[in-house]
Amino acid sequence: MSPDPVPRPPRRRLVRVAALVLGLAAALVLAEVATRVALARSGKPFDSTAAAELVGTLHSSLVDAAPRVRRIDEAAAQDVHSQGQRLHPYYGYDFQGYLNNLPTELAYHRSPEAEKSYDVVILGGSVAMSFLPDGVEALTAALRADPELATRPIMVLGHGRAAHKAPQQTLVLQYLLCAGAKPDAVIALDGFNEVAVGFQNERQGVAGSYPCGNIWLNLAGAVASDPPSLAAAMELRTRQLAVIDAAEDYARWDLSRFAVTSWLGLRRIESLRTGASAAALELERRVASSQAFTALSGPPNSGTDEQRIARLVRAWREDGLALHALCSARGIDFLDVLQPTALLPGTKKLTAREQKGNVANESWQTGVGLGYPLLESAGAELAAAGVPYLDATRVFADVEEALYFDTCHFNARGYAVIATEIGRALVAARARARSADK
Amino acid sequence: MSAETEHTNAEHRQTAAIGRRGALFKLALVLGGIAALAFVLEIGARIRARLAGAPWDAAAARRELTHALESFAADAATETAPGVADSALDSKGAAPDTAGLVDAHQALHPYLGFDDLRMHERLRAAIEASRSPDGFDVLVEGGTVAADFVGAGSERLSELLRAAPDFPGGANGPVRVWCEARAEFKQPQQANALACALAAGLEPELVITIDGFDDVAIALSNVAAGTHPLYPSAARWNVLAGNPTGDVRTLDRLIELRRRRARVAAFAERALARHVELSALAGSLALGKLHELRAEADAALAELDAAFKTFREGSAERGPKFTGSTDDALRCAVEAWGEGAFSMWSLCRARGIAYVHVLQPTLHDDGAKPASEDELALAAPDPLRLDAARLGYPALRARGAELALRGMPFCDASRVFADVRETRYRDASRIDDAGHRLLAESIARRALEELAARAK
Repeated sequence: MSPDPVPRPPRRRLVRVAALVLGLAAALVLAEVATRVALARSGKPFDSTAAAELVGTLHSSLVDAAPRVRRIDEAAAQDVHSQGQRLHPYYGYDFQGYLNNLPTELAYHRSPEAEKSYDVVILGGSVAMSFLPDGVEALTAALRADPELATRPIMVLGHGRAAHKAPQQTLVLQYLLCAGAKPDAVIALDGFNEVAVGFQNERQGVAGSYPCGNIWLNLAGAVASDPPSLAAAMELRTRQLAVIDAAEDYARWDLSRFAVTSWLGLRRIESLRTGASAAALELERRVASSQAFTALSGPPNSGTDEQRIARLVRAWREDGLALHALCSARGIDFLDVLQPTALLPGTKKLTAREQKGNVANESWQTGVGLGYPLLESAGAELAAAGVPYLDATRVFADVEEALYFDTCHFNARGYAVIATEIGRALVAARARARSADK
Repeated sequence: MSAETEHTNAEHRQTAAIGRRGALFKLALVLGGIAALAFVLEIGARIRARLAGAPWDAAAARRELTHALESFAADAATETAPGVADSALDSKGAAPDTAGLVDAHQALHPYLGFDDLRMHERLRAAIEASRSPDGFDVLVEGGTVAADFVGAGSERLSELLRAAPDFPGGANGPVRVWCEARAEFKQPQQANALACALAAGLEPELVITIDGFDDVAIALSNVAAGTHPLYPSAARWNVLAGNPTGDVRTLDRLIELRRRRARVAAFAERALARHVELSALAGSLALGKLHELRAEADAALAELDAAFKTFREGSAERGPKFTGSTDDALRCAVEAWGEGAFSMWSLCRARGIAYVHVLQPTLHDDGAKPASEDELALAAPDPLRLDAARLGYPALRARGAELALRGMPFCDASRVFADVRETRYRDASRIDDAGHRLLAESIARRALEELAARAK
């Protein structure tokens, strides 16, 4: 018979468990401290709020029509289709939200309320799209300086659409006017997409005057009619959905609470995002070799980079002239605003965070680098031709805090700054028009 | 070491050896039991299958798994998904009747709805020519009749313009008439075509828009086709724009279908690799699971099919839902026509370009023309086109007059054949060459008035 094994004292087992738990906790604390120290030493100290906003903004760029600074909330997490793009016959593509809202907006234009109100339509790309709601309050406040608008109700109607560029602003306005819209003022807040997205189109072999190639070619069927392109589109979408899921997991588990969990979560998101970017490039390559590409990519363009940029800038200037013509013939106030961009050196002292987000592909960098000086000259020409114009490229020059979260999009504080300047410029333009009438 | 200890150790070794043998025996017993159970279950499964009238057929099971693997392989989803290959088919699966409207040269255009690809080259030539210092460039915008006018009426127009003493192009200078009109264009397509041409660098001296009939007629036929009256001709646009995978909702359903199909294929591949068909028990369990996975894939296919149907029947590409009456549709069309015309004039005026907007004639507009026998013999037009002429034209004339009061150079050519008894119409709106020459005279008069007014 074997001897009974000596029973282990329960206290000893408890001590071992406690030591294990304490060791684990100590390891976690150590990892947390080490991560914070490492981040601080690399010049990017851990900021829980900023991390949550970073993930929310990335999520927004995949879920919303235009990216904005926000934390992921329940509503955003529930519907990833609320702002799907749809083909539009007169300006390339639109967003489901606008299409749904259009009948209501047109009914408003026929209402007595619209007669009383000063209705301002904002045109442009995604920066104009996000003007609502972030810029409305500051714009309204600035417009109150005009004696005629001091007490009049002011309604701001958003008609910016992500990646829209000349001539889409003119065509949106023409369509709205044909449909019965009767705005009192039109503001075009644009310039960036004209040279960045326009030049990206040129690089892809899509006409610079055509809508953003990545959106247009997909909606117009270049993808659906070509099985390899469709497979690439599905792969891209699958990867995008994985990024969306990872971002929502990050928010759901509140990973921004600790530096170590946040770092791990961000690494996972970044890795998935890299995969999605590669899939996007693959789709671009596939579509460019599809049969439908030639029919849908517009008239072929040629020339040097400088010649291409000059054509894009001309299109922007013509768009300003056209918008002004359409408005002035109807007694509608108009203001053309050249938007700012973090890619243009010397226009804002970028914070470390802004510098990190200020990353663009080669075509955007070249487009902005060559295009913005020409846009500024073209803007001066517009002003000389009598078009009310605001060069807002240096509107953030004196702001030290972080405003940009990527190359051209900025936060609510940025909108407050630019909306105030726009409001002032519009008031000044109205005053000039009044004195010219006298 | 004492003898007692040695004895004890030997006892322990013996006990341990007995223990090991016991454990091995137990293990063998369990394995044997499992094997026996499997055997019994296998036999039971085979008996059950035979009693059910379908004896287990390993070859058939392997065939089913192989078939599942082949037909559910990764890329099959995109090849078999409904609505991808047949997106141009209507909900009944038949090709829509486009009456030959959409030919090989037609393609979607981002700003005009649809376009003839050959127009790109024509516009490029027009831009180059219009920038040369000599000559007088006339741009014609509009729909079908305007496009015909460039071929049949432009020579007479040029002749009349040159004959005028104050014509800024001179008596001998070249007058170039460029066509930016397209069949079935209606506002805001003309306005968009002009905006795009000017933005691209076209520098004409005179822009003439000839339209009206398509604006009201297509608005009514669009409503009948479930498309908004402001949208382009449904007969062309709805065919070209039917790309459901451009919608992210359907794309996501397509991805889900692919995922579920991939699960079926992966399961079938594993089952084949393990030769589950050799056992009636394992094979029938595998086939059960396979059927379950296939049902899930079928459900995803049904969801995708429903999404495609929804897309085709109520898609955003048909514009906002329009529930108004014929009068409402005509009001919408006339409003768009007027605003489009006003926009075109505004665009030209800002660039110092002379502009004339022409309301084209149409046979069924009361008082437009005494119909000849040949014209009476023309097949009865679609009632919608009759409504467009009889109800739409008075509204177009009134709106044109309003715009003229606001300063827009307007030429009401709807009565240009009021005293002509000979046959001029080839159908409800298209006219013959002699008709176009007569139309050219009205247009030239109004254009010269406008050019003279601008010269003052």
